[in-house]
Amino acid sequence: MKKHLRYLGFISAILSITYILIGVIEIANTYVSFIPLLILPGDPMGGFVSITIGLIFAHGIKELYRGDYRGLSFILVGLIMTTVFAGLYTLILIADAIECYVLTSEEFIGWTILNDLRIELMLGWILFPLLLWLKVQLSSNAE
Amino acid sequence: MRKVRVAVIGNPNVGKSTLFNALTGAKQYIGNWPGVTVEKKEGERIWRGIKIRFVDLPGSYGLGAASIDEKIARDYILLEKPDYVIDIIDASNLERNLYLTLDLLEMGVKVIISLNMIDIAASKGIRINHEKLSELLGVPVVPTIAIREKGIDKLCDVVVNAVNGDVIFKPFKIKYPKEVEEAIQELSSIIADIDSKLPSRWIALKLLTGDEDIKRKISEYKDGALIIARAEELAEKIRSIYGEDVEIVIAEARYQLIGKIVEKVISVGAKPEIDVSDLIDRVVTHRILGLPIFISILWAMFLFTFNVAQPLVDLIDIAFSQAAEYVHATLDSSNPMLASLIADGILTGFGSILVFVPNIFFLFLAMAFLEDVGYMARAAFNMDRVMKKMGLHGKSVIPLILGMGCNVPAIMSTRTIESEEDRLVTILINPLIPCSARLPIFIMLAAIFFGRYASVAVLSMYLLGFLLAIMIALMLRKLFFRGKVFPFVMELPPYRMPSWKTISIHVWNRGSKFLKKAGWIIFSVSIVLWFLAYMPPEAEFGGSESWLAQLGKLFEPVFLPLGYNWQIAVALIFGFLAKEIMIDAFAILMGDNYETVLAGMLTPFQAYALMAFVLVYVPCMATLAVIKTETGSWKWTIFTVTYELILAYVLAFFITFIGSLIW
Amino acid sequence: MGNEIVRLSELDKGEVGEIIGYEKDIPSSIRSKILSMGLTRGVRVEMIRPAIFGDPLEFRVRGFNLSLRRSEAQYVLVKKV
Repeated sequence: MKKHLRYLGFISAILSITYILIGVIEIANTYVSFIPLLILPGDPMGGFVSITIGLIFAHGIKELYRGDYRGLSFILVGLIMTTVFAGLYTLILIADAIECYVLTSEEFIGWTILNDLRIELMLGWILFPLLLWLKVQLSSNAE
Repeated sequence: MRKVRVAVIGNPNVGKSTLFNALTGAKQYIGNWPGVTVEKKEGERIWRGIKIRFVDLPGSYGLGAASIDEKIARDYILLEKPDYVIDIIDASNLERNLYLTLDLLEMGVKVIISLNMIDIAASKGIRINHEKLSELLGVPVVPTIAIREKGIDKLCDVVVNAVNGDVIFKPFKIKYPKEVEEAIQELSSIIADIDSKLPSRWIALKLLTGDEDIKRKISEYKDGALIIARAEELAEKIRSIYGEDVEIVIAEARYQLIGKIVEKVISVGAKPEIDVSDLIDRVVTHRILGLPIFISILWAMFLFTFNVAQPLVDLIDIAFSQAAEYVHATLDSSNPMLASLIADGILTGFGSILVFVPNIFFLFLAMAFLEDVGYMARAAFNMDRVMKKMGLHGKSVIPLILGMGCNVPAIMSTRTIESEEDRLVTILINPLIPCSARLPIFIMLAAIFFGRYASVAVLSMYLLGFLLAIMIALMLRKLFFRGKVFPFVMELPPYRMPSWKTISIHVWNRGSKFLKKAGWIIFSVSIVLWFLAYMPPEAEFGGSESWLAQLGKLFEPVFLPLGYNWQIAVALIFGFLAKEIMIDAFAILMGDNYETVLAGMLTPFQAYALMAFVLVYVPCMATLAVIKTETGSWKWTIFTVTYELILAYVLAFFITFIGSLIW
Repeated sequence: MGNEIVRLSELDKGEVGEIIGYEKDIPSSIRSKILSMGLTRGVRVEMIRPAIFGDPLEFRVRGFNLSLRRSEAQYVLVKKV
């Protein structure tokens, strides 16, 4: 387990930088077309959330590197958050798709799936297996 | 068929709702305990030829008079005398849970214990010998896992066996220290004399501890005052002997006994090293991370409730407007009044109820999930300090934030606040929080009158709303609840995986409660408004000749000081139906260029006053309906309308007045 | 140092106290609640952590976690262990 902790510390570091970056770009994108990529919408609150997630991961880095199992707190909660929002953004995508194709709502003319396929959605699902692995590790008590 | 009444009680967080649902199935009657905001649930099950009626009592830690919840629970047991009481105990928390059990046993109640969550206890290495426990307490103990419906049938079996006389309930007595025991004996024999139907020993205990509620009840008997005086004498004597109040002596004696019992029935095996729940708490209650996490979760709730539910809302909207159109198309030629009644009255009425359902459904899904998982307790824990300054409770923060979306589900979500007084205050100030339906009107008026500063004007409405909410909360506290101390003492249950079954039954109950209770109020009001808008038949629907407009003209003098004419008055009346309709009302009454008309009619100050008026004056009728169902009384509902109307008028007048001085 | 007597609200994160008594002026509603939650004399209470803004406090007692406002915990006297 100790060995795993160091790797998790490394992963935490990467995820931390990634999510903080995503958050900053998304907030910037609301005012200025900072980095106009379709997967990074201009969304101040969404950006805030991503920065928060990044900060959560950041807090765990030191403890995990030192082999302190309590550092798992942060990566656990961080992964729970990424999963929750991945799920949420997916549901929003489905809801918007219904509005566009089934209800042909006028607010959604010209909408495509790409509009809602944001990076947190994809990244969150990619990270989901890691959350499952972590849960298994914790409940079987590999101390 | 033989009938029997069983009350279900237990500490909060022991899985009582889950057990109750499992006992009764999803069909439950849900209302309020009379005159309070506390919810009352009843359900039935027919088992082996006996109709068992279950009544869910509010979660209690004891049967003191500390909170309204506990009072309701104990009053029900004392006065309604259920045949049996199922006491649900959390196997992981035996000590504290047994405190309530002892109180029940001392009341002489026939207790059947449901030893719940034995699976969770097992995962913590805790095993309980339920037969030994049953032997020590003298009552049946049934191990249960409510979430997986294990032990439920057995529990019902025990009830039926008891009805058939096959179960023994041994009388239970705690041996208190000598002087206390003597005092109890003396008092209880006097009490038994004046009313043999009372649980005399228990009443004696309560009188000794100075229980106000019991004192009141006893004072109603002929020699009551004497008994109370004697109890106080004895209590004073005990205090001088033991150096502490009777209440403390008694509590300690109980816990001592509990300690002995627990020792004999519990065996703790290998404890898991890692406490996952604590790991999560480190982050959630973190000094720096805690607040952003809270905000993120609130945001998630918002998105879920409003964005994800949107297609359903639109679907209902479309369905009803198309239905209305169809009715008009087919019936207008033959019977226009009937057509209008069905289309604009009935269908619109139904539509205006159902349109709330998706949002309520999704919101309660999110909230039930967070509650089940254990997060809500932490949110209240974290926000309590801020809320306390506002005269509120930590758990009030969620309903207040949700009010920004829609007041209807927000008020319904106050359910989770345990203290009656805090719940009431939170409900009463909720309409002051600007809901999303008011936004279009704010935006419209701000755009016309404030141009570049429109967004500032709109934002100021939100600030104003929250400010007023805080002020009124503090005022309500001073006026109605002065001097009362409300303990915040709250358990923080461990995090756990949510049970979809529990969540879905909970959401279903909320939704159907809304439809049944609030629904008819909303529907009736829409019909009345339809009628006023339709008559007389020759006039344009909702137009300047309709009775509704006449009503508006009647109110015109009231609004004159504010500078509003009858058209605005009528729009405001429509705003009572639903805030979103106000803009449509302007369009109908003033024509398509209503914006220009308004621009010419009001000064910027008057317009700002109008915005403030719309913010405060009355909540939409759906909100009022929900206030009625959640408070359980018309008194508070009318109070809300009254105070808001007055506040709105005074505020608008004040703003207009300042404006007239400067302009 | 061990055996110092303080109010429950004064325990620091991680400290354990054994309840030895209550303030004379403790409001009865608070006392009832506290007693029914098991905070009787002789019981050990551990201060786990404060809330984000410093109040209320989370304690561990009799195997479960309890939250108390400082204004409530101040009435309970403990001996540091």
